[in-house]
Amino acid sequence: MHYYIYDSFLKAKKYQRMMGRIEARLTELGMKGKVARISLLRNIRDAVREAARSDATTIIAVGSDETLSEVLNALPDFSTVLGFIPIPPDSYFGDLLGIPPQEFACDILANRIIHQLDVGQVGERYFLSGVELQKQPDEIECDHAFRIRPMRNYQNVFVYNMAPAALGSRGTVSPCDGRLAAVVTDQPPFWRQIFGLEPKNPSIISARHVSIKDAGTIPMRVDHGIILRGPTAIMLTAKKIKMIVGKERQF
Amino acid sequence: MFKTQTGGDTTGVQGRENAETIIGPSVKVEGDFSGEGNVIVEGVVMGSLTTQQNLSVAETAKITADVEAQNAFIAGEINGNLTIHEKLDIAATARVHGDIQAKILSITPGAILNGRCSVVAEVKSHPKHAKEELVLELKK
Repeated sequence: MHYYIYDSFLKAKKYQRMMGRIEARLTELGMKGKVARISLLRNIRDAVREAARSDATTIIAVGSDETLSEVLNALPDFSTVLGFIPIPPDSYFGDLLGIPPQEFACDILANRIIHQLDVGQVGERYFLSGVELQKQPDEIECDHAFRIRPMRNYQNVFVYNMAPAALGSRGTVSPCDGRLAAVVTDQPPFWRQIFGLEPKNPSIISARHVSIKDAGTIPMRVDHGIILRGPTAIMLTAKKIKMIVGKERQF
Repeated sequence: MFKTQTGGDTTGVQGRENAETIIGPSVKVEGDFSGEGNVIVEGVVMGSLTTQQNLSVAETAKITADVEAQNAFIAGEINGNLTIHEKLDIAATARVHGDIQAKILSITPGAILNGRCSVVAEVKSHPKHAKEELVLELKK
């Protein structure tokens, strides 16, 4: 059974027509299921718990990247298949997973290409894409075996599980290989940022366990959303999530 | 690790598009680095460096470590012993201070080499790594 979790922002009048189109397409494809609408009285955690109780085989997050991230973090275990209907046309996860926005995502759900994806963990938080450090750390320890030390000031540090063209490399970081990628880049000059050019000479180091070490506190942005504070360890969880992806996925 | 896309090389080092690990010119790696895929070094490495695939050492790189790889292309500075299981290619800009063991060796005129060279039919792992493999086998 499919269980759809609609984010609270979809109640707005401007989304009503689009939601109608999505529901009509789901009916055409024979994929109607239970719907849980997030509101002040029902958060995503409650909705996911209800879905688990109702023996849902597929939970589908309908909303933005944050909605998918919150649903992932609310799952009691990763036995259920997870789907995503991105609503914003520029969804980051939508692009990575090859899922087009709005009603076009319904066909991807119907095709049901399921991949087992690695899930990262930072503190108590799970992530699919990666962690962006908002400040350069003193040291990054990988696999308890070696340490990376940035030799210049103002370098950007990312730890990716899944990412498009990894900041100047010639490829993407795959979430199916059981490894994270620690990426260190020079902060590009403003004119490169204006023209959206990739930073030069990035370092990309593959590891299973990454430990961020610093004398102070480091804010870390997880999956382009929530900000946590470190230093802390970033690792892959032992379990994988079964996710519905499109043919145009970037891995 | 990386799904490749087509594109030109910008570093002058071979195989950047297929690299699993790139140690860029602005970082220093300390400790026992062990990779499974192709590795490119453009920065500083201290400790030990092992990969099961190919290693490219750029002109800007400075490695103070024992190195082990399947194939290697060296254009930078290495202070340590090299154990290469297949082909070792030393460019004119390379500065190697240490013993070399390889199956096939190619040295371009101009390279600086200070150490013993052994070109053998079968290259055995570096003693340290061989010891680790033996311990693993015994544990099994």
